Amino acid sequence: MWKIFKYKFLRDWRGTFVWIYTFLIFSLTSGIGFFTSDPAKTVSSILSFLVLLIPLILLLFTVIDYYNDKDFISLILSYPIGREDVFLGKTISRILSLSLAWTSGYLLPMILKGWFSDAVFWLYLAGLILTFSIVPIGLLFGILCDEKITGISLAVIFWFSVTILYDTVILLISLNFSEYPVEKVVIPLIFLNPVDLARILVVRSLDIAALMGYTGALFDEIFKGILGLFLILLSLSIWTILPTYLAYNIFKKKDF
Amino acid sequence: MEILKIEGLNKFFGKRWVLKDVNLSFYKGEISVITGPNASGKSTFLKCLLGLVIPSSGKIRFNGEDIIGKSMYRRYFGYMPQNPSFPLSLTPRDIFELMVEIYGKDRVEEPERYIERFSLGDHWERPIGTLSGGTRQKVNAVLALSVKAEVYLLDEPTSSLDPKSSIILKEEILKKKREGSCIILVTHIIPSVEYLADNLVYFLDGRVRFSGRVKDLKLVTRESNLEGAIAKIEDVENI
Repeated sequence: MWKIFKYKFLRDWRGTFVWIYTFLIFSLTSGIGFFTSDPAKTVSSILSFLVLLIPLILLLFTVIDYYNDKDFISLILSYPIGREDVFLGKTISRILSLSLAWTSGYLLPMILKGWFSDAVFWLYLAGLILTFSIVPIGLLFGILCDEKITGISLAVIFWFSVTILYDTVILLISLNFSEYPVEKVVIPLIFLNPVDLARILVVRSLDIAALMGYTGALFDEIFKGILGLFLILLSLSIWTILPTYLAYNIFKKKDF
Repeated sequence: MEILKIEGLNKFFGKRWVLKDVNLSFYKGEISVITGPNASGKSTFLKCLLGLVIPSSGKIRFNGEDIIGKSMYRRYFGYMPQNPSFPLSLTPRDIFELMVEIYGKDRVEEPERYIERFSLGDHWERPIGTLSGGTRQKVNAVLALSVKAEVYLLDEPTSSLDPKSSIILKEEILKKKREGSCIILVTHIIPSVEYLADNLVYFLDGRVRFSGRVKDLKLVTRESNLEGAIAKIEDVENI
């Protein structure tokens, strides 16, 4: 596994995408940080980017890279190496490359600014965990679909569902059933969306729940405590393990 | 001496039957040419031997041991794919080094002799993306030949090669044969490999339509050249 990991990790950093991704996050964090002296405001702005664009970038990169690499994967699989080693080496190296890109792109400007707050830390963790979840999901789509266009379409549909469609549905439920305690219905839905879980991980440290009335109070009650944090981290772990497990099982039986 | 034995091999893709009850044997120090029309199951068969395609049923025995689902037996296999898609940013040396890491130093020989023979000296350190199709095929040949294999699986090895490189490759294949390796070669270009072939396997609709010595085939079909004999396989009953 480590042979493939080393090779893939070095190859990622010899390519252009990871550098572009690092530069994009670095510019965004530095740019926003340049216009404000408040780390919380910077975190809020980057959070919007994190929940909307980063999942799309990670999904597309992972899926497209899988298809570009598919023939080479089949060549590697003709060598004396197990499928589990190839899968794990590839998945872990991709996750670590992109996590390192997020760490240097986001954390470096924050450290340079001397901003060390809870919100800064939670946003860093959210970005990291989101990378851990989204990369296996992208790989799953790639492995599942033989056709590149189908895999990419599936990735875009997934992204659309967990970002735009999900928010729209939640908003519609909240508006149309505002007289009912819809929060009890809406909150369990959060656990079905890794992007929203990552968002909540950050929002719980920003003290904006007070602006949200009854919903905010309920939100505080559920997510602010240790149990809430545990539930978020547990759900995000499931969002990492489940797609990885599914992708691995399909990869193990796949014909190349 | 028998090195590979295939017993009742079947492969379905969904409801489509790609390989039907394939039973074959391959021997040390012999070259077997696998041929047949397009989509007859040749490449799928080769991929089954490498574990790239997982058979629906049947057994593949290498030196008597069933190898389906295993990977370490491939330390003794060298593979030259038809259209290798190497990462464009890597150099042939990078790929060779990865191959050495996976196979282990004891299973790979130094590539210098092959690099020289295929005139790859200038290209060995250049990114694959800058190499022509023919040069990439030479790299493909060098990588496969560098493995100290007992079985070489070569898929259309001479395609995209210039005549000189094609002759060099065939000389190297014969050398491997003399050293006792088993060579399994899939090709459509029969005249170019006629003098290499000891055995011929002809696939038709996923079944083995003919398997045997080249001279026997020529005798049965009353043809003096292999290409003519192959063309007659489908016409001869009970071959």
